[in-house]
Amino acid sequence: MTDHPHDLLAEYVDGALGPERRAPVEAHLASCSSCREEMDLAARARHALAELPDVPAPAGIALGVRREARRPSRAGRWIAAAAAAAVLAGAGVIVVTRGLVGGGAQRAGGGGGGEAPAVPAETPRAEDEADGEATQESSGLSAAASSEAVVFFESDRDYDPTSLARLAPRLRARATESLRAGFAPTTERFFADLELDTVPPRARRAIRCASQGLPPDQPAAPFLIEQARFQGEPVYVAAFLRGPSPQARHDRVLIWVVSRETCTLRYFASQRL
Amino acid sequence: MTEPSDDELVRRFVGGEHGAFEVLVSRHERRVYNLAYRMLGRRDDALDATQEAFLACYRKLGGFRGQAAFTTWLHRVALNICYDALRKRAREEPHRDDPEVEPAPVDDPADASATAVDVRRALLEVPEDFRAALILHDVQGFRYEEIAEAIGVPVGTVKSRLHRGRVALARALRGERHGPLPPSNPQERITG
Repeated sequence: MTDHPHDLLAEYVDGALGPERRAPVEAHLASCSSCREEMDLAARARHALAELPDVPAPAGIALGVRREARRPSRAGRWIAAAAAAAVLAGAGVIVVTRGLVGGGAQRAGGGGGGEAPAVPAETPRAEDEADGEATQESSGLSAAASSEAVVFFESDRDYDPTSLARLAPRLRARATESLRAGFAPTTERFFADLELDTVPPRARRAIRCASQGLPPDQPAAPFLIEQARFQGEPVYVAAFLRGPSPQARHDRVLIWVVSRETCTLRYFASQRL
Repeated sequence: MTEPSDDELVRRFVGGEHGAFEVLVSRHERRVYNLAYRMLGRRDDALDATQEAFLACYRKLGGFRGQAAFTTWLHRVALNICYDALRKRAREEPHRDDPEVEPAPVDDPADASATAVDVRRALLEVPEDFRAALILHDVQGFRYEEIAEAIGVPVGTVKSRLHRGRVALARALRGERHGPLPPSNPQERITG
């Protein structure tokens, strides 16, 4: 045997070779120190893997799938919402999902609190809205709002503080429209309605990442998340609605820009509704 | 009364009985989750991949012709989703591929021993194709032929990958041990 019999070594280590197939392998091993060493390593690895515990699956792991199984129209609703947002968001933008539907029991949404987060804030000036480049963003984040969905989409847009500042008042207008059209009026209600485990992975990751760094006692409801860039860096640009408390009506839009890699804050803006 | 077989449940589901799919999910979710967890090394990614795999099955099951066992087919779907996730991770989060970045899943008592954590990390250093063979055979107990069918390669290739994967894993365990784990960082506030 001139070549190293890797496939036979697997079976040898498994004890799956009969005597007549085992003999040539053993002859090879007797003359090949590298295969002897490999066989020893392989046996250890096999043992370590056999000892590896079965990890318990999280409870309700397939809840979303089960819901799909019961209500196949749901997939259609996802797609319909995604398609609608795609049209709104314009060419070159991929819409991945929508995230939630109304109904369901109430659930506590977190503690109280009423102060704005202690992060550097740049509140956009109202006159920015009348700027000459006003239409540029209308094909992106600000245009994709919808009534009851968290809209997540990907774009190749590269924001900077000026363009984000311009975006804020427009998002405020969209938020008002969305609330009028049935978006959860409070953060508590939003989280009661949110079925995060039915949200497709990319959007879910975006929601989680964008939500990191929000003050834990002041939850906010994401309504738009764009996977884009900020001064060249891959980021999520997320728009959140928030009220003075989780039970109070939203009175503020936050624009929260986090690094996609580290989920740390890169830019923040806030607008009163 | 005996439990209906997977094939029977698939037939019922294709025939319009949606509840049959739920039985398939509850029967296989743990295995698929473990495959994804060992392939991806991170629980949130494993959860995503598991759901995605079942959703893909749900949508494609009408086209399932029963040439392969349902479990083989399901594992092929799950594995492809894991490969996609790994590709996406490499593209978008090059630094997070370092297994040191991922904190140990402290609330998994089953995985809490030092050895299990070491093996979990070392597995991530084994090339993906070898890793899949290791998980399917040495962890989940699939036969060579079943793996060949799930992966879509000849049986000899499976055996060869298995051996090379074992060697790579043992070397990773022996030579490249990592230091203490970073403290766990709660990342899923929004799910609460």
